[in-house]
Amino acid sequence: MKTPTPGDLLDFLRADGGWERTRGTKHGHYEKTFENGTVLSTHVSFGKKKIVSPNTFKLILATQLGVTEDEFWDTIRLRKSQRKAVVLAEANKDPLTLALRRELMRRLRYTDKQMVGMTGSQAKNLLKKFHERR
Amino acid sequence: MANRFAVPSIPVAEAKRSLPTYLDRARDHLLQIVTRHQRDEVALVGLQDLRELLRDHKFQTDVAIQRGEATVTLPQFRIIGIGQNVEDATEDALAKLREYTLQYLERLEFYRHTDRRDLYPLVVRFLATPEDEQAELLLEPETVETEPAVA
Repeated sequence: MKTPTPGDLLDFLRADGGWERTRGTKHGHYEKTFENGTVLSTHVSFGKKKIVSPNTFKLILATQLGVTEDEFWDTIRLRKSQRKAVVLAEANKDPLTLALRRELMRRLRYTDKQMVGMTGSQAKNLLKKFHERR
Repeated sequence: MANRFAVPSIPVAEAKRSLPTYLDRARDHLLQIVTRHQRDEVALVGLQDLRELLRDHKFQTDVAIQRGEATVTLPQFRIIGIGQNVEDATEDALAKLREYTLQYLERLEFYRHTDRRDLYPLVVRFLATPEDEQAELLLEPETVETEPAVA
């Protein structure tokens, strides 16, 4: 899966149209507002990274841009919005949270490597077992 | 004009004259309303009380760890922190959240008419927290499930 650079993301925003840079933000925050009051927002900055993984690209598409992968690349290629609808993903209902991660590290000495792909309920079960053993 | 509130309503000129007294009362948890021209009404509330009022407004986080990359998503704000590890990603998410909350307040009238209007209590809670304590807001457990029950 091809993944974008911050430059590609900026090209997408320009071609998609309606995105405005928010004043006074260093992290390149852009927003697009629809008539029904829906606000899309994204950052043309990947932290300290120049390129993101396919999973993170999917997350950006689903959480921030509301387009499919094909619509994203076609919009850049054709320099015109290819958006058929705004489809934003619902928030993950079973996330591994920062609080759960901290508890796993503190109580069970888990490392991030051991938490790759872990869900919230898996983390809670591990912590429950730990507390039951005490 | 009669006081419309059960708590003290103070004209702005009086509030200016005796500000330390009213600040002391706010610190002692007394809610006071400062009025100007019987039109503008502003609540004078202690900062700790404000934070207490907002403490149930929790920041959701969603951590995804992959080899060589991690993300910390703040789904309520649709902010994604990206980094080589969770610490970097958290730092990135926090920096983006700081910027976002400041500009949210500046454009509050705009956001009130959008699907982001309900973010207001979270925004105020974040900004009413000292910068060096803001990271802790992202670490609050959503429920007591991660903690052992206290007998």
